[in-house]
Amino acid sequence: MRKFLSLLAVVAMLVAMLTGVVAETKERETLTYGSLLNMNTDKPFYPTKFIKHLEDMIDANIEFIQYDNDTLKLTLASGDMPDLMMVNTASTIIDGRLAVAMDDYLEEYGPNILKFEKRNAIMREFVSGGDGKLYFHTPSTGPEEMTGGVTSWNGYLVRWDLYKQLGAPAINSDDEYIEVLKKMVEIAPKPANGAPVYGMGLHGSQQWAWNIRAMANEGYSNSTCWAYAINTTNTEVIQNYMDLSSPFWSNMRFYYKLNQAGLLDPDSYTMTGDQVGEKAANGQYVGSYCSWYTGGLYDAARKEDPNTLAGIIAVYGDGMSGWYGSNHTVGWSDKLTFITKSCKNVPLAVKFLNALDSDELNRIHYSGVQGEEWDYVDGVPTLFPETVALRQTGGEAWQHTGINSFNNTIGASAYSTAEDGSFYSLWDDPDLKYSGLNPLEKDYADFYGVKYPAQVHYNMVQEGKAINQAGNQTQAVQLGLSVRPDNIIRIDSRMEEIVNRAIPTLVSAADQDAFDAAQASLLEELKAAGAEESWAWWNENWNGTLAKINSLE
Amino acid sequence: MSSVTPNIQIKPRKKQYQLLLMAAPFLLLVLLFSYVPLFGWSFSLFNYRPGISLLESKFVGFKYFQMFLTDKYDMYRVMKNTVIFALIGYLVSPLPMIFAIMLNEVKHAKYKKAVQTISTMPNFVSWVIVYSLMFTIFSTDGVFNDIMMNLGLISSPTNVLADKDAVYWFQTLLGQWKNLGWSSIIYLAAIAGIDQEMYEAASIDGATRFQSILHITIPSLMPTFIVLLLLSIGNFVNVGFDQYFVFKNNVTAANIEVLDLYVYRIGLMNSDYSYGVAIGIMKSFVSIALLFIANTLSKKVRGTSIV
Repeated sequence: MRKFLSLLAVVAMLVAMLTGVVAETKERETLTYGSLLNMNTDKPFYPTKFIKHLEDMIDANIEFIQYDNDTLKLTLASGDMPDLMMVNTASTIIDGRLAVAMDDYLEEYGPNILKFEKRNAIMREFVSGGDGKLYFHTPSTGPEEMTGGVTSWNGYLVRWDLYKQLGAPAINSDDEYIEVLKKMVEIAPKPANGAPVYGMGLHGSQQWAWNIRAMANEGYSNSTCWAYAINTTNTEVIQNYMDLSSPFWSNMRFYYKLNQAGLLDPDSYTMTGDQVGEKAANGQYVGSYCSWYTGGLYDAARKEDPNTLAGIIAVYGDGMSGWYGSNHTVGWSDKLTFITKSCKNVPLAVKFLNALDSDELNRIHYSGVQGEEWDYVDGVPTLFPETVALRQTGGEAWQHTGINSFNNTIGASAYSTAEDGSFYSLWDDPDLKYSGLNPLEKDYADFYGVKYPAQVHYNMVQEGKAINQAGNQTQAVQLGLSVRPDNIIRIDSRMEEIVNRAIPTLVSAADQDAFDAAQASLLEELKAAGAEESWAWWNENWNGTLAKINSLE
Repeated sequence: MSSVTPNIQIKPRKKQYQLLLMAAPFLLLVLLFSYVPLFGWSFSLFNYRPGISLLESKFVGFKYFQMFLTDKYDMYRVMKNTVIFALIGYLVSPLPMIFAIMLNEVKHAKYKKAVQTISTMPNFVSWVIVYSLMFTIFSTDGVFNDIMMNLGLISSPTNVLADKDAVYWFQTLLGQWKNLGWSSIIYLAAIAGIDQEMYEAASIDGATRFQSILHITIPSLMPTFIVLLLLSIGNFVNVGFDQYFVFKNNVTAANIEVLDLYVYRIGLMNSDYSYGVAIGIMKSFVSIALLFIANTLSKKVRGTSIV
């Protein structure tokens, strides 16, 4: 009996030990997530602290798969999809029944998702195929950049050292901007390789580049196609190609004049974004259509002189719009995440989306981990000075925190209010913003007597001298807009192609008469291609959806 | 009438089975990669959208074929570009043969090998790299403009990459630069197979090198040239994709958009899959028809054919 008991005890110990070992070494399940986004998974700083935290929250690994447009479509067509996918339109997913409804899992696995009532209500109304279920999750739901960020990517973009040298003249129109560009080119230092200096150069194979400047500056945003622009103060749609007061035509007139003045880089029709960036870094541009492509100038100059003021930054004219201030009640509707019908573990996928909507993860995303990047001081969440310094230094150590790295996926916006009553982002403090400015931005802020460059615009909005996107419901309308019929899609894409080919003719027109003739010819061609038929559909459907959303509000 | 099919002696039945068995894996590959995908043609008859089963898609019959044939916006332009590129391609098709003959006449072995290697290399460079290279050379502040302006040959920079009128000749030139060396290999092999006694006899009869080329080399290469020409006629509308895709921009778009690029834009960029497939099918039918026409012509004119 004793022997039997001893044997039993040994067996029990062995079983307990082995069970423990198995439990300890049990591999986490992996959730696959496919999208067009580059998650930087190949970088040394990956996985970031944010990603690790997210994985711990759902007790699973996340594998990101990056597609290009074609492979994403092919993946959808094949039906062999990862567990979760992000797409920019819902129709194919709904019509193809590619998504799993979350409703049956929400109570148990998705309590945070349920908190976004308005977002869910609009999605159930517009992107459920009529069954009223919840299929999609969107990022950045809530108020966005209410005080204008630190700097703006749009505006009248100038090379700050030269602009100051000119006495920082006020710019209140495109014509005045061209004059300033001209004067800056005259005093700009010659690049080391002797290359010519221009006002700006574009990556002009894409219509984005030719549209975005006036579109942002004049208070519009783009829709699913460039033929239409949305007024961001009232969300009304206008004809971007057929209406001569549209941002497209403002841009064409501007680039035509710029070209006439010899200020437009003639390679603008053939360059890629990278090539624009290289020329900017080489000091060949004194302005830009969007600051994203010209950051290389400051980076290169700073290597030579840490306190250099040679960099492109936005100044603002009266009435100019800032790309901030929207309250996205449905989040970013062109980034729709859904659980695919290929998903092997739907509850886990719901847990993942639930984590994205959680108070904890949103604060971590925008501000870091409590106790590591920030903590409460007198009940107020406050960033550590080390965190602020780390951001200022940048580099891989900063990137490893993962702060602000998941904007296209995280559930709430930076300026949504957390449970502690503060914004998720703790960076919206003018003094903090000031302390994080680089020498150029600091010089700019001091020059205008503000705490951060974009505050100049924010103050103008407060004074009624400029506008932002406070009335913008574009994301919600786009989500609710019915699927464009095939014939309208064909007309719209045909119009885009026609306009693509007409842009060089307009911009490089020999004189005003040639420009007017090219303009008249383009309008005729667009009309013949079905512009009015397309407009009738857009006008009716866009405004119809807007009215429905207003009624839901 | 004889065909250019190699003259294989009749073997005993067992041998033939062995040969058939040897060919079987390759036939399987052809079946797998050339015939099975033809199932995709059925998409042209439905209003297909990704993710939706074909059985659930709306049947539209020949609507998309009709649409393309009656399209007054793009069809004419795209076909015109395709035909122009194809015709220019035929005009320059003797170049690899001429290049091979010239190379064969080079007596300095090292020089000959160097030329052959250098001329073959571009074939292995992708079109994306070629574009970057051409941008570096031909952009307004590129090497070409620097040289031309320093020499005083032009007063302001030009950019051939953004010149609509230069599209046809410039793209042909690029194609030749990239493929000339590679395409000449087959002719160099054919030249190596020419009976050397013919050259010796010609030499004894007092023929010059040029006369030998004219009366021995070129006639000996003609069957190869004709076969390649016939095959290329079948590919008349397949003028290529990669090259035109990377060099397309807003200025060149009107002239550079060939059928393959158009199918890509319609099918993949606009997600109009069924319409794209329909255009692709019509392209294939045109290719097959052209191949048979060329084959018949060849049979009648030269007495040789490939089918």
